[in-house]
Amino acid sequence: MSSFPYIHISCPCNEDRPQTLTIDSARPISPSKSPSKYNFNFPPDAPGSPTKKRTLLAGFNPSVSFDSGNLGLDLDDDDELTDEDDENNFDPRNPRSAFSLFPIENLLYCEDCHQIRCPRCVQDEIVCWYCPSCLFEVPSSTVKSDGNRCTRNCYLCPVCTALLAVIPVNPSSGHPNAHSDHPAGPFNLFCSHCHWTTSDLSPPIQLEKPTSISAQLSKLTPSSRDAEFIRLKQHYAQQLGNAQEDFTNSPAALTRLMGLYTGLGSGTGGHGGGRKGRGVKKLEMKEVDRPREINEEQELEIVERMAIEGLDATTNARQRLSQPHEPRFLSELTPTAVLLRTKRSKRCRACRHILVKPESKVQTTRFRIRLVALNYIPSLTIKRLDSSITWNNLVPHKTHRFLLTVTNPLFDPISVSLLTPRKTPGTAFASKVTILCPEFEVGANTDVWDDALMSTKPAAPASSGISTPPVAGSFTSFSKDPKMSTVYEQKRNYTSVVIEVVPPEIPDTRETRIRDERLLEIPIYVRVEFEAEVDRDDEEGGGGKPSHSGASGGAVQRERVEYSYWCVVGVGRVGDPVEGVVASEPNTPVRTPVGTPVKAPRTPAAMRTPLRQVRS
Amino acid sequence: MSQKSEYIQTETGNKVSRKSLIIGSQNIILGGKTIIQADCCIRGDLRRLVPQNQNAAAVAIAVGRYCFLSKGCLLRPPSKTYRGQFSYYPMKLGDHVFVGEASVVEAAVIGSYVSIGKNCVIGKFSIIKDCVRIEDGTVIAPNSVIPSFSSVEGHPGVVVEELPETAAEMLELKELYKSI
Repeated sequence: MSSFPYIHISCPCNEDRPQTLTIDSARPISPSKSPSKYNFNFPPDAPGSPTKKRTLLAGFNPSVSFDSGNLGLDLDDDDELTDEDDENNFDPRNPRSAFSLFPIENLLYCEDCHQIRCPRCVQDEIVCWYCPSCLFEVPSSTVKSDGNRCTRNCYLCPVCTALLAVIPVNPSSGHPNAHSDHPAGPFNLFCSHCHWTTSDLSPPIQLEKPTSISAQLSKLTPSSRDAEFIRLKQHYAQQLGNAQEDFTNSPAALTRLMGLYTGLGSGTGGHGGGRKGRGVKKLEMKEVDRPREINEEQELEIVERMAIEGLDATTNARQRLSQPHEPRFLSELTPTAVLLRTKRSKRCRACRHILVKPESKVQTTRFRIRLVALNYIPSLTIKRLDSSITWNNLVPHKTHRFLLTVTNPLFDPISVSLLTPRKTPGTAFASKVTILCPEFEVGANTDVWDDALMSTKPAAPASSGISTPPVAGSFTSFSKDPKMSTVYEQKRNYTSVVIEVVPPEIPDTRETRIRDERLLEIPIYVRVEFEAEVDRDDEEGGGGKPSHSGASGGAVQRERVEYSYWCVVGVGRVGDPVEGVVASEPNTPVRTPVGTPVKAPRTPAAMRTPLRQVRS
Repeated sequence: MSQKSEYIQTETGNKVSRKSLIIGSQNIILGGKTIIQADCCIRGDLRRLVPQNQNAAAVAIAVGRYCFLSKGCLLRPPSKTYRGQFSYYPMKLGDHVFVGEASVVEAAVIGSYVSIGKNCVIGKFSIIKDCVRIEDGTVIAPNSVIPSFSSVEGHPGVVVEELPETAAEMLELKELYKSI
């Protein structure tokens, strides 16, 4: 969040109930909808019933049905349909908000749930393991047996973590003539970044051959820690072997497991099952309880050595902790094998459908399946309309104008409503925010050629791009510019509108610094409506990305789709007050005042809607 | 000097600043729609030693399409002594490679959709795969390999973050080409 401006989209997973099946109750859907079209349930919208619906046991049972009648008592304050702005808007300052805010690039889109999926609400599955250095795939069986490090020749410098190269110890003695095809040994591992070599160790490690380094190193550095690990592994494998028969296919297994984890199983033996009189075997899980011994003699030796060699010869915390034997001196560090990396596919946690599936070959960057939000939901960008604005130093009381651009990735034209609270919520120092033209159309993401062939819309000319910056306070001339109050710029698949921000004066006290009050973030509720083609073949999905041939005749069914999400625009930081700029009312918008949009869902429940709703 | 006259445009849409320093241009291949800004230096003269009798086409630096070389960056083919002979080796850049201001690149291979920040040093013979972002001020050690979908930072550069699946879109430079 360092560089301004940024736009983060709120993933609906920050809500406390399942996303796929909830529905915005504040806004009645048209009564003739068909609930079976999509695999999320629409509430039976009995006419005349209260529009408020709640799920019981939220978060536990995703298939909870909606009940519109008897849950009137179960209203939360959050869900109240109030007209008060502050309580119902998305608050970017809420500590919980930060967990759900992501740039659109990091978001995925589930076609079955019709919902944004953030890295928190997808499930990763490993497709393959590979070494990031030699880019060889490592079979998962090898990973299980040999650990998650490269077993080939990839080693990292223990001092600086750069990759080590194999060089002959005496490069000068190598014959520059015919036999130099195979340079003579012995060999060193050499870090070309910090020039550390394995000869710096005490005793120095020198390799016979320039290949199969792992095998040679494991012979040369018989680590006592490795022996310790093997001992521990054997111990626990044995324990596990004993326990195996208990845990498999036994109804009492769970009870015993619980017993283990509640502490009954450790040390004294698990009586979780036994206590209930089931007569099952006692499960004993013994720890290897050998405390780490500190030998005073050895420690004194270390201190003495430190005194002689100086602190420069000691390791820093990162170097020490990256090695299993935690060496105190640089000369005790050993080369570390490269950690493996994975390629992972991603599944939607709610419906288990695969959202991302990379090709299993290590070197390719292609994906077999890649449902990224970028291709499904309109993206916002913000620009300065007035180039004198510095993002990190917004002037209090001055009206800052920004250009908010909505880009449509879909093949259908969309109508967008941008809603924002009049005053930024969650802070005592609220900025006044006005979107001058909150409702507008964005063209379809057609081919560039289609656009060229069609007669262009009479939109504001783009060439008049950046207007001259108005002097602070002289709003009168500016507000007469008709472009300001309507769509500022409209092109093939994007539309720009003006947003005005008047930051307040924020004192520079300790408290405001701690709360970072000067950070100006504007929550914007984006609602999108469009007519999509109904894809009858795909009963489940309906095609989040409607097909291109949208303009075909009446035989194709069209349906009204709408969805909505919150996003947060990080506009910048408010600076110190500037002489001469005094508090004044912001430029009054010519059109509908923003912040109290008529059609706006004002409750957080709106956020809980499936991103996409269908009205047939 | 206005923007128009600063760049020389080639047939394939490359825009090369008049103030850039390009040496050994017969050994340099630009894929097209590549922008080379002022004070860039491209050392095409540092090419592989070819025996006299072989008349192989010696390409020192191959650059793909939609690359952007910012002000003051340096592309220099990597060199080493092999079998007692000092030689330069070719350097290859993929498509949509951005090189930030005052960065020095001595990589062997840079893939496509790679963004290199300001003041970076890309060590000799390093290999950068596709979809990689290298943050400002990173020093990549010689001979290192940066796998795909990585964000690299520090000296020596280490992978600090995995890039999302949309990395290719994020690092695309078509718009940047149009803006110049």
